[in-house]
Amino acid sequence: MTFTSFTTFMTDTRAHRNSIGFATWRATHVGALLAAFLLVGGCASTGGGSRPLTPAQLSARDGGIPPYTPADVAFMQGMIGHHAQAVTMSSFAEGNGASSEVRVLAGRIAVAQTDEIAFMQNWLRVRKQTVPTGDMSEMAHAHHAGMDMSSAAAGGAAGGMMPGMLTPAQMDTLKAARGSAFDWYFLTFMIQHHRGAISMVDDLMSAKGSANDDDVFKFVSDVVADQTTEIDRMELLLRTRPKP
Amino acid sequence: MPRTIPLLAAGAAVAQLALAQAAHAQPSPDRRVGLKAGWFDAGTAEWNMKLVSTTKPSDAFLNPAAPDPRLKNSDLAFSGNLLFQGNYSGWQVWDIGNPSKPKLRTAFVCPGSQSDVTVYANLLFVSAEAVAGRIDCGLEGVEAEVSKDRARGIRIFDISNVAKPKSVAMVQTCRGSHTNTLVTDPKDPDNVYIYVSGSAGVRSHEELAGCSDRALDVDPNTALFRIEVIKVPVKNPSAAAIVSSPRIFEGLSEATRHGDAPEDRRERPAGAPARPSVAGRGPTQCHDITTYPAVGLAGGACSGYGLLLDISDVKNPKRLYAAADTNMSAWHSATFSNDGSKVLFSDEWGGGTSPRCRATDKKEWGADAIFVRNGDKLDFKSYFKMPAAQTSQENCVAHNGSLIPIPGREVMVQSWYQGGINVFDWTDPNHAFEIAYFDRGPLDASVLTSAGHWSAYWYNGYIYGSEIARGLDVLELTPSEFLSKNELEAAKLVKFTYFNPQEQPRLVWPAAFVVARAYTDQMARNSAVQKSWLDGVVAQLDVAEKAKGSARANALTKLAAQLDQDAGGSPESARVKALSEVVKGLAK
Repeated sequence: MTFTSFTTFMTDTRAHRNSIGFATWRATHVGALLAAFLLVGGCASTGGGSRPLTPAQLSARDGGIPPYTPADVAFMQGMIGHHAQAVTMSSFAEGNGASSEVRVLAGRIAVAQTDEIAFMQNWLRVRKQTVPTGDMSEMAHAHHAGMDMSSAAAGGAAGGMMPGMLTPAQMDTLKAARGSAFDWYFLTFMIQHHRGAISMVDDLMSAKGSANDDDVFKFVSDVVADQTTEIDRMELLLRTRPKP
Repeated sequence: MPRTIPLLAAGAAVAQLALAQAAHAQPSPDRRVGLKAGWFDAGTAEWNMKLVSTTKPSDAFLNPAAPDPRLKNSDLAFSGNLLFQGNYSGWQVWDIGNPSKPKLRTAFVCPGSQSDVTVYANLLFVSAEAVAGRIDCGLEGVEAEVSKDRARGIRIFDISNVAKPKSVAMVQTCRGSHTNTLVTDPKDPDNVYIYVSGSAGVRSHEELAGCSDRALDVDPNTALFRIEVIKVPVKNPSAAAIVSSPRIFEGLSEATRHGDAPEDRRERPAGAPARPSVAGRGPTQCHDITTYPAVGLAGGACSGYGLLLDISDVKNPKRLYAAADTNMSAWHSATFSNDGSKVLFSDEWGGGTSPRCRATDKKEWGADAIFVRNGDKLDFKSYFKMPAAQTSQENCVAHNGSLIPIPGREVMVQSWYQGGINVFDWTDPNHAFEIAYFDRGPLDASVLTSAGHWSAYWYNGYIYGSEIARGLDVLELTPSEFLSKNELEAAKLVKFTYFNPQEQPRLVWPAAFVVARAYTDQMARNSAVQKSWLDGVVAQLDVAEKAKGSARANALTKLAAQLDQDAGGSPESARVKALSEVVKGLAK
């Protein structure tokens, strides 16, 4: 499929008015704008001057924060709690006598998802949204109190358990399991957990305007890529381990 | 008229002796630790290389109030004096005729990350992956889940007049293009090919007919488990189209099995029956592919595997081998040694947005893994990672780099995001070591803000670093105990007319005295040959260089004859032969 389009050029001589963002931008750049270069692209002003012409103008207009949707926010808030549970699950591997392969895998999941929690919290903080703590002890406390962990930790992600989250009973089973039984439960539950995360991404991507923020887009792409790979790895490990 | 000579026949390897045991004296404590944070005023550390210039992004791509994720600089491509720099919101073209003052030629606005760029003649190819990318290059994003405005795939521009790029085609693909790799076919000069690696979600079939994200056993035409090959007629680029979707993962259903012992690295030659696959899964995509047309091979960094591909039939790359390794997480890219005998794969553990170079992070995670080709197999040898501990506010992991054309050695420059840029020697695949670095402090001392070097490549004498948040860095290597002035001068003799780092060119050196002296410097450093013998060779080179005309030719011919005679019994046999070739070239 081909097209030939946009031959509209913006030069620094073009007149712009009325946009606060542009005015601010222009105040800092009016001198630099005189540099002799040609800015080209497919986005043209319609003459009113209210539409930014450059990504920098757009950025200045919205304070450096790309447009995002309520679905993006809810996803990030929910995924923090979701990830926190994976970190908690992984923390049992060492003490519960997991095999070396499962320990390595759990170690990688713990590091990766802890960093991702920090990334999501920061994303929410920058946008002045409610930031779930992702605190394991809070999760554990909620769990012992028989609360629904998903909403307790997810800063009010509505609607009960998120996809793939372990039930309190599953969590107790995992915590109590030792050795090869732990391996089996860890792999089985983590596959369930990862699949849930992937379905959360699928839901997000079907929401209008979601993931237009590059950070969100990259994050969900990575979640799907990493967790799909890990599911394959875990299914393979599971094949050689008998069900307790 | 100097004649260029290949350094070595493929498969030959230069003996690497005492170099590996040399004390790699680095400044201690490491200067990269504890640097002051800042955006354009961060503290810097340099060792054996120096910053020539830093050029901020153009006004179109810089919001001076705050770093913006939409304004990230990405990968680089080179053509003549032009450097093409991708940006999440488009791309910029810099004239690097004067490396200390790159001049902006064009700032082209066209959002849709990552804008990975490759260049060929008057054509520029740009990767579009994000769901917000538009065919018309507009800034407004795409709201609808299904939209005819969305651009995911390869944008093709005619850059004959670089000040006025013209869009000539948009080749849409099901998963968009995370990266793209140019492949030239020596047998097919009328066309170039683009290998498209898409790692994001599959778009709806309502948006692009035929797109499916089902498992392979459910839908044999699924967009997963394959790469795309686009054929571009050089004279008629608007006719560019997908010509094949090779399923190079066929039969690969398993990632690595376990631990980090050598016996845990699974090996399966091409064509060997796989274990029964788990619901037809396994790797579904590549992240990036490095082609090396001169040797007919490519290295694919694909999900949990490092693939060795035969690309002698460019449209139909064939998998020769799949290496897996439990210490590798996100196989990111590949670099071949110049003779094609070794492959270095990098691991972008954490996707490049996480701090993975902290003191607590394993040295073998988020690192490079060095393999040696053993027929059509790859044998793992060692890991290499930038050694300086970075803060939790610095995204850091192995990323893009390229070979530096130093004859007789594998020396590479590599970027590590906020871990900076380093230069290291991996001639001995069991023992890579650092020889130079450049680093800045974190962009922000309190919070991790994505920044650092997306890529660092050697191009015609300089190192160019694409800094995500700070612009374009140009750096210069300086001579040191690890790299002599002659070796550096020899590297500068290799000139590319154009360079796409993921389309590896074969490095050839002209017959020049600095090339000969690069070899003698290496022999002196390795201390494997007798000092008196080497002194004699160096003295003869000196005499020949001072002589003129036939006197010079005679002296060189005599020296070459002696070298040929001595090569057989020498502990540096390969290097002595390579030196002899240079001397013969000089004698002509």
